Amino acid sequence: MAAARQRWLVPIEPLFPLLVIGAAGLLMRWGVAKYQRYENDGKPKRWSVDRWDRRMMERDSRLTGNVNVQQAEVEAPKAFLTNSAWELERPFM
Amino acid sequence: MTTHREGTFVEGLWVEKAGLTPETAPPVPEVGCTSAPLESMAFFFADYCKKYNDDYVLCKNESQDPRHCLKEGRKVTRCALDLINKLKQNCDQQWTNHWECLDMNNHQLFKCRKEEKEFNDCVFKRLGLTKVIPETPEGQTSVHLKEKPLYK
Repeated sequence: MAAARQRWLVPIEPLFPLLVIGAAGLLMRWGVAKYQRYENDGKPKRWSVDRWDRRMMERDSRLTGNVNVQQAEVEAPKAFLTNSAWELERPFM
Repeated sequence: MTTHREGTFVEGLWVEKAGLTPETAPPVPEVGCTSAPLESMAFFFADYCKKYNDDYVLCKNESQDPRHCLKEGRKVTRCALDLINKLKQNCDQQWTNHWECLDMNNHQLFKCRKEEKEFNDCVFKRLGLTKVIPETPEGQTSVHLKEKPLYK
């Protein structure tokens, strides 16, 4: 039986599936980033959010209605003086 | 505080019906800036309103009762409104650039040094305020002024 002949000096054939896996990984990263931007009004997601940031984001949501929307007005709207972020739950038990 | 759980069958948010009346507290408009603009002007606020801030903090140290420090709080709010008005009249474009950059970068100051430098220069030229990081050790430049902050 004739010996199997190797096609190239350096074996680069096994690299092709690795490139495919790498491309699939990069596509997943791009897809997750795009989905997070879509969820957060075109901005990257906030990470490492501590208690201070959480309270500031709650204040943002009371000022503008959405956590991701920032504004730089001088005075707050009148509704800001009395609104809150506490949810009203209908008693069910 | 008790542990918080998400509400089930939520029907709206709580609105306070009886707020502060003018008898208990004279009405002062609240500051209308969200977190990113406030973060970018924080050091100038510390410089501009130092005496009102110190008063308020010392008053709060006396007691945790919210009714105890309403007057000092109103002074701080009025000073902050004054500063925001001045910033909007003088350095609006640079301020907007800086806080929009912060908004895209997880509100981390070290990512937006270029816009911060322009904003600091504009504020120093028009309003005379500098950003000073308190408690920097003697002989060390502040971290926002280092040209190569990642080097030793």
